[in-house]
Amino acid sequence: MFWLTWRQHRWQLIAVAALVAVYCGYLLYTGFVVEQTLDACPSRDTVPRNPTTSCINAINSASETVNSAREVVIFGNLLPLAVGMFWGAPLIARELEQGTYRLAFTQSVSRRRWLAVKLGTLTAAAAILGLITGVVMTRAHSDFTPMLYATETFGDVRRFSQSGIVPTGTWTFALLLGASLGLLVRRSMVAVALTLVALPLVFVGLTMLRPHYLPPVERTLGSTDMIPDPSPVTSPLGWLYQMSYLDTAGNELDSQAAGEICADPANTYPTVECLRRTDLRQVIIYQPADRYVWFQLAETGLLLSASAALAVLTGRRISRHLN
Amino acid sequence: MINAVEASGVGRRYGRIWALRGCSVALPEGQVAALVGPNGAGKSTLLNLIAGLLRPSEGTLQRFGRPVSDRPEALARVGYMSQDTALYPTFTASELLRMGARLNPGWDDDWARERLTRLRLPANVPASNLSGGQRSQIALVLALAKRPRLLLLDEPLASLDPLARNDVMALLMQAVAETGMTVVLSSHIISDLVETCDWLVAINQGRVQVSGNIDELLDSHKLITGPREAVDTLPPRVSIVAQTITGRQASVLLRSGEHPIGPVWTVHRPTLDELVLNYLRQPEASVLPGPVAVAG
Repeated sequence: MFWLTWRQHRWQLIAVAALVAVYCGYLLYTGFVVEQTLDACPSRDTVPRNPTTSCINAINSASETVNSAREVVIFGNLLPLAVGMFWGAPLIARELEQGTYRLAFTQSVSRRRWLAVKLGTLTAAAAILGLITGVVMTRAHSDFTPMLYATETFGDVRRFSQSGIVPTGTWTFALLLGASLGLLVRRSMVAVALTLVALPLVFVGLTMLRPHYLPPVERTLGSTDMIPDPSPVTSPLGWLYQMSYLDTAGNELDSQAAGEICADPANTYPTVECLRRTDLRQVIIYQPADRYVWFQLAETGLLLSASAALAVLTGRRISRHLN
Repeated sequence: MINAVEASGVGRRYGRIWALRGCSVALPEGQVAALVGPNGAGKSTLLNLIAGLLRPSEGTLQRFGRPVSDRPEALARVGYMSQDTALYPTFTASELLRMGARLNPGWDDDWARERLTRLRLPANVPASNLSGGQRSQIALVLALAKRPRLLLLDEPLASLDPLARNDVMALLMQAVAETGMTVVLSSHIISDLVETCDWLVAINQGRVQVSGNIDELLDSHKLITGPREAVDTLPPRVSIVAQTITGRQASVLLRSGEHPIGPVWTVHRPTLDELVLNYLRQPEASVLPGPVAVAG
């Protein structure tokens, strides 16, 4: 069975592996360039207190490299589509379409085992490739984020799903969704098209669901501990959902309204000085940075559970209800 | 003797349409059975049901006394080759044999390779580049090399030229002679089957019309020809299967009996062709002759 799986899917496997290699190569290359550039600074982990001009220039240039690389990173989210479309969709659909299932299912191998080996092998391959992308993305593009004018992974729509263990789940799910759609519609091209539409919808849905995995934390901050306004959505603090202000009467104000109270000609937004002067308090709703791991686990778990459910349904249908 | 195939009341429905209904057949082991019937009669459906590729919508179906299943031991006993000989188009003959060897515990690789050489089939050409005849031969070698006890062939000869047809039949009959396996072979060309088969199953409009040993079937029928007016004078107890009237001539297929039928009739033993055609022409009137009562 393993030989058959390899023989039938080798070109798809090689093609997707090559895509992953190119993509990871690109990530590693930009990571390497950034690291080289940052050699001008004494440390790669924190911005020095009194940075030299060459260090400042290096940070600027490295930030530019990382930020332009992250335009490309959008396409990394399309890689699981390749797995769903080229591995998953034809897996069963092509056998039904070409009639070769009659050859496959009359060999001395039960349908359950046939499916288990095929899905098992390809799932393992997808999970490994996903894991490689996740690790490369994390290692090559997140380690030096604190130095740069770049966003953290937590809360970053582009990178969260490509970092850490989440891709393992994404890729596995893409494969199984393609395979089940193929069994359902029995036409490779239709299955490919449906996968191409369904997967992005699922990914968008996940992005919308993601902020709700855990209830966020609300904190009221004074002038001593306020965070800069404006603050990026993703920062070492964590994933910032919302920032607002409370006046002395307890009314909630947005940054702009609070800025008007401050009436500071130098700043449109409230500053530490303003909070000290006006007794405004800052309220933030956010996910603390240490929850990143839980969000990774939650999303991976969700994707893997859905994959397992699809695998069970596909297995049932193929061994009991096919034809 | 155990029956290789035993169907009782088997039916298969696609949506609202029954492709096969009320099919009861018992095929003793060791027979080479011809499954005949017009296109769309349900031959492929029956073969797919026996192969386990389809599930019956009603009735029970057994192979060698056990319900059809996809357990490896059950699959190992059955070989199947389909109408359009669906082989993986990019696989070469050599790769297909390799697949067979890896998926079938009883695989006879030496035999398969030897057949490939003897039939002068190119080992390293993708199946999609081979002729229909070559593909059929490879498909048959694949089905035979797993050493099945029951071989199901769905229109193996359709779309083959006479030469290829001859080669395929020769390959099949040699394997049957070597192993004594049971074969069910469907075809709508009856003349292909006369010399090779010893059992006949005729299906028409989704129902089994005839099932039995060919010699016994032919012995138990008479084909009589005579003037058309004489049809009305046939004794009422004679059991008529079908009659054809051409001009002034009538030709009537009867089930044999000791009833005198008069001197105007010329009596002879029907050929298989004549027997089958007469039955298929009368789908509603005919009944199942021969030993069709399903055992057990």
